[in-house]
Amino acid sequence: MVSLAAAAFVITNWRSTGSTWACEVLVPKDHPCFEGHFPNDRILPGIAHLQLLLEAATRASGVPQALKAVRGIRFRRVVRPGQRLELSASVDEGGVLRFELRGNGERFSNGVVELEEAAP
Amino acid sequence: MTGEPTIAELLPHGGRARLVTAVQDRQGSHEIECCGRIPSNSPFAWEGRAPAFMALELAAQAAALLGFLARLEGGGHHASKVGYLVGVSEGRFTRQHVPTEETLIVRLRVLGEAASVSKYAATVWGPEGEVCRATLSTHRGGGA
Repeated sequence: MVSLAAAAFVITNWRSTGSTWACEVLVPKDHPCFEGHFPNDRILPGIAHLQLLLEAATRASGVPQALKAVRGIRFRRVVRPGQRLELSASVDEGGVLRFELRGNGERFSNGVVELEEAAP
Repeated sequence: MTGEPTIAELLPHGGRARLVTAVQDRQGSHEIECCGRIPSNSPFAWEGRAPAFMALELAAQAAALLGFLARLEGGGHHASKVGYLVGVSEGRFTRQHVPTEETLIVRLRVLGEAASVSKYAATVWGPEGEVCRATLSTHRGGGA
């Protein structure tokens, strides 16, 4: 069972090589995270970037992932309804994941986080 | 706005996206304590729980409140309510999930301000103790 926020991202064109992976992401115009954020200016919340990252990392590892720590994340551009993005990441053996979310040739967010296996 | 403004009047977030429910304490423009909750119908929730990283959104909303209240008191009656979360660092989660519809407490302290970016130290507690602590950066006018 996953949340509506996680399930609503459309992830395609999955590529994986060793400890690196990448995929394309469509943020649907009716993604539930836009509701109320904000009523007059729909923007994907910063935490939805984290949800997307966990969803993709879970797919990459085959095991549900949870966030243990945020070493540093920058949210650089707002994500609007219908935005197409490219998410790429590399992860080391200690669960430290470096990621970048790009679209239209620009960086939307990037950072370094620590992941761990999600508790049931 | 007449009388004491409500949280709904102070925050731009609508419906289930609005997590802060009340201001518990405020020390001028540099510190605030709020309570909030994750609605059970939040898109991030499932089976009565939500990811602990939602505490970051609660803290970002507390930061927006603190900034907006300070600007109001400074005479900025047309000040923007919106404060965008543009950065998180030194974040550590002591649990993976928080229960929905339970009271969460966020305490936020200003660490510094430069131009339109403010940096805060935030700690969030849930019914079972500390959920996370992190450093947040918000911007009045761009970012997520």
